[in-house]
Amino acid sequence: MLVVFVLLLLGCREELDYLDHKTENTYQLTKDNVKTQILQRKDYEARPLLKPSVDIVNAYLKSQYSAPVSSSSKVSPQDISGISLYTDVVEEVQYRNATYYSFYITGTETDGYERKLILKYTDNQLAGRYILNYKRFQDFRIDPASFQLEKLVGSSSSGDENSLVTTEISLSVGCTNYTITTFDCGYDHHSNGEWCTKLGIVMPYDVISSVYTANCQPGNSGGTVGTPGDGSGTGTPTGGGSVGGGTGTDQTPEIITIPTTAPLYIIQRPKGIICNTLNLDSEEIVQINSNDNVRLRLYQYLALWGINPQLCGGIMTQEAEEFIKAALAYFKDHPNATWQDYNNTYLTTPCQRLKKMLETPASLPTGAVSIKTALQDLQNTVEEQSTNHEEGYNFRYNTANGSMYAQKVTTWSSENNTVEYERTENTFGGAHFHQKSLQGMFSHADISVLYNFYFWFKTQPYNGINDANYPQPVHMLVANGQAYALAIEPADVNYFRQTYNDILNGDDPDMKEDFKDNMERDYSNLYSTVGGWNSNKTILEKTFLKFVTKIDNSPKHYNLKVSLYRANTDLTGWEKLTISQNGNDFSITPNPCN
Amino acid sequence: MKKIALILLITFITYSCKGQIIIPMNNDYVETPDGAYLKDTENFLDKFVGTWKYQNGNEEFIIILKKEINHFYKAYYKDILYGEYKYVNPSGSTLVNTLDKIDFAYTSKSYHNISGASFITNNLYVKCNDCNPGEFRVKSNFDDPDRKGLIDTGVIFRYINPMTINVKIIGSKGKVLESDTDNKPDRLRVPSGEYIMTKQ
Repeated sequence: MLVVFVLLLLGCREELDYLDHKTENTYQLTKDNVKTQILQRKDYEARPLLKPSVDIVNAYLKSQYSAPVSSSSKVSPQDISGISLYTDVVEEVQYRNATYYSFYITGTETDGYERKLILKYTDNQLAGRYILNYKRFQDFRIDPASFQLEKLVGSSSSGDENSLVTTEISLSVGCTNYTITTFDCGYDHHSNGEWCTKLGIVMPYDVISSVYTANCQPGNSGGTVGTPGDGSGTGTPTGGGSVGGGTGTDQTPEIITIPTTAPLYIIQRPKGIICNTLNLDSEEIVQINSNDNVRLRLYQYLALWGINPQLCGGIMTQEAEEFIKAALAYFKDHPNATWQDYNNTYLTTPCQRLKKMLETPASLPTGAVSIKTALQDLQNTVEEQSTNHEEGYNFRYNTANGSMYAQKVTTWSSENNTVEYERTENTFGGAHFHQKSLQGMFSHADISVLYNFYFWFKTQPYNGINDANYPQPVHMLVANGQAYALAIEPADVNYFRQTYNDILNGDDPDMKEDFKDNMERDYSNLYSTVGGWNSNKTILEKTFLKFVTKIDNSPKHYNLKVSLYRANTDLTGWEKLTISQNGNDFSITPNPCN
Repeated sequence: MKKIALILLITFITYSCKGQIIIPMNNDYVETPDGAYLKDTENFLDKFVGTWKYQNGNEEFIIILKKEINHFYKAYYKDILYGEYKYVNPSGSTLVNTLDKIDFAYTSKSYHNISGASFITNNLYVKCNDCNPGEFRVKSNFDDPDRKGLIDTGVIFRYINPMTINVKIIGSKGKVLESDTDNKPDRLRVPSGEYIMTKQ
């Protein structure tokens, strides 16, 4: 099924050898003279000179299905009916008086090659049409040795642009040199369209440039090709790579294009098949294709789950789909955010943040204690005979130095003796104990309190949006000699909040009553089993995790995606507790936080 | 002894003629199979059915309670209480009055401002220090019609005699917020606490 591009390549020869042109630095690409942009459809349509050229190439690509591959065979129309140029997201590079537009070619065969059409305009006149083919490594980096460049040449004598044929850029093997230039901020490694605070500019995207030397001596391989940019490029702020091999007659390379760090998410497949593995809507598709770094990171996360977004009919889980959509929603709401921002906000695991909470801050506000001290105090107080109501601490973020501290709760409900945390904009969580005569595990009301902490906490990070020490909402409990933390994994925050809101704030009162009643019944069953409140921590942990994970698929349980953590005895670290099922048996696995 | 009690309990769990597992509500803290019926086999809930009134000067608290047989929850069936209430504060202002909704044809009795029934003993939440061993109270949901999403509100009915019940209102722990700017009232308008009520 490679015949489509066999047609394109007909008569072509590939140039896979690279010349060493170290002495011919004809073109110096720098952050100052290269301007890159990712255009969306409206930008594309606002450039009237593009559409005619795109239409011609599109028609050419589509017409080729009926063209003879050889005298004895033809490509059937259905084989390539999906082929076209992708115009929802277009790459633009400006260098001197040349502007390069790159379009992904969709619907090509899955032979491992990605293909881009590159239109070169010099002084707003079409100066060249090229197709760049390349392969990727498994980690999405482009394989420099896979570059193939073809030039599309129109039949100038007939004036019939539809009779475009592919021709080889050069008859001389080894006379095209490719250089990949990375532009790095030099600060926090911002690159590829990200804002560079240090330089006060938006960093250009990395570019691939290609130069053909007509009179070179083919066969002198050994030229160097840089590593494709992956968002962590190591180039210098001022250093663009040099492109050698100029002929002296052209002041710009044949092509300059952006080496997309991960394949575009293209749903148009060969034979006209539409394959939307990630279940994204059209707006989300444009969004994911418009942001190289985010797309790469999302693909990398999907790879961890064994999901290949390019594989038609491949596996896709609800969890992964929700993760992708939540991430895209974040970047839609925060268009200037970097992946690091997102990571700090949502992907830094509760493990890391919970551990940070146990550290003693350098200074504490008057009347405040460290969170660790607060937990120790609760562990001691709950054992005292005189204790007749719950006690607790508000966890607060110190806007003066970005640290965390605890302040004792001063109010509690008189009729049920439960603590009432104080709502402030810097309260991100709290801890309390359950009296020994009552259930030693989180209640449904405790989950509601955690839910609310997400709304309460509105303080901005002291060290800016990249502050990895910024706390996350958490609700802690001291019971049965243990300290527990209830937290939400970053990828599950949206799911939890939506699901919980539907249950507690929804229009169906049975939902709310069911939820409360079912949890209370689970705990009460334990009471009946032993004739008193069960103090076996493993049984309580199982009961709670069965309820909030629905691992047993019981209609009386709920998949809330909340996580249960247990502190070690000296309050220096945490274990995430997970539940597994083997037949009718359930077991708890403590997973130590690193 | 506990094992014997458990065996006796299981003995009480019987099958109805429809094949539905019936669990007596005063012994219902056992694993509840899906589709089971938690039945008020001893008609304990009937003792709370009626119109009840608390009066202290201008302050007035009236509750109407009815019983629904075989209320369907999503995983099981249960006999429940449902009801409405009126509260007049000590200044004589009527803060809540939903008594006219008692016979409203809701699609579910859970829409009433009082609904549900769980039998709780002295040590079950909320703890009762002066309850007798083996004495049951009935815990139901208690909502404020104009304040949605209140956390952990409830009412506990304790039977005193045919003309008197103790009604304990459990106040909220705030409300389930709808946004970070949600500052709507998050407390019941009926003050939490205990009310001795007389049958009307």
